Amino acid sequence: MAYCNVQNTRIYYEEEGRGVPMVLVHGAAQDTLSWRFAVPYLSKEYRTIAVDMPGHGKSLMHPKGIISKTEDYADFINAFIDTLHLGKVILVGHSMAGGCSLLAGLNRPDQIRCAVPLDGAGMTLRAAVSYSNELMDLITVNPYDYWETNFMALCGPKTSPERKKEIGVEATRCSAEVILGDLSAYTSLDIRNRIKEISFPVLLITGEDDWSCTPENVRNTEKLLECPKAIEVLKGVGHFPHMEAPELLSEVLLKRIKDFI
Amino acid sequence: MKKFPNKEWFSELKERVNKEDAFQKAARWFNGTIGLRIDRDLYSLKISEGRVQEIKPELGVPLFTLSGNRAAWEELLTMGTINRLFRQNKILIEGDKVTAMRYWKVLWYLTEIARNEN
Repeated sequence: MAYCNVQNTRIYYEEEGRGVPMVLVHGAAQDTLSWRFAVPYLSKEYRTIAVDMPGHGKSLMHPKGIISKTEDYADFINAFIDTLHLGKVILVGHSMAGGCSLLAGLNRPDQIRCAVPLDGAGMTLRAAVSYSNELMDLITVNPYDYWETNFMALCGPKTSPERKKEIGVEATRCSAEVILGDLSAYTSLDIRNRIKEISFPVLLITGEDDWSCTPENVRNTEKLLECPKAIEVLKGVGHFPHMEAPELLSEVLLKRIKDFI
Repeated sequence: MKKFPNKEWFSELKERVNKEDAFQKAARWFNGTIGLRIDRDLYSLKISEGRVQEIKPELGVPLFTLSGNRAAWEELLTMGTINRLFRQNKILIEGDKVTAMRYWKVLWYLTEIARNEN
């Protein structure tokens, strides 16, 4: 557990294991804690580095303020990898960070061994992930309660009520401004016109019961990719495979990633 | 399962909801009426002091109404959630939407408890 300075921002990260570096980037309104169930499995084979993006967890806010563009998060990820001298990494990004991982790879393909968007896609515009303009406005009334219940609602049917609650509570640790910034970033991502430029391998993993970033949306991203690629759909799992089914996710990830590195 | 939506079903819902601490906390400061519209039928839930006080077909004009067709409600009460159905525009909020958002957890627990009843 350590801090570093990235883009003039004090950044928190957690390292476990040895070997090829695997950078784990959380989704909207989350932080390093979201990886706590999966890291014990992943770190048996890789050096995992989970990071709190600016404004999340124990990382300070970026000097420029709230981040509301995936491009800025992607730039941050590139800078974080450079700061820690990680070289070429496996970049795992959940949800919003799934799109960021593809963008970060487009920025700096030299940094990426393989990108693993987890319940993420190359296009998550509002309509595609079921956010209307009206809802985006209304969420500002009560972002904490809405987001907490939203996280619980995004879990798959097999996830225990206790784990759902735990996942929901995570959202309430993030400031309202950051939640809304993340939501803006997530719902404005569209890299379909650049996706053919991706040359590094991409392993897409998603929950079968994710009704927000749906398997169909993820498959559409997979179809556009012209690089080495694979897709895995986890049965009975919702939007948070690393928290709902960490053992299954890790088993699939560790097995499939061997095809690419 | 009691036939949804009828008087007996709502009566059981009221009893269940009022036993839940989480609902009582969420609704502690809510004082008003929420409408539930299933197709053309409107049911009103009068809520105050953290409890559902009364459920009747009509109790004046609700602060806001959750509205959807029968298929949407059946989805909500079997496999859906209010967040999902609202995001997918299958259940709409009519009336004072700001108050509805302010008391989002009231809607969450109400519908979660209603689903568990089925």
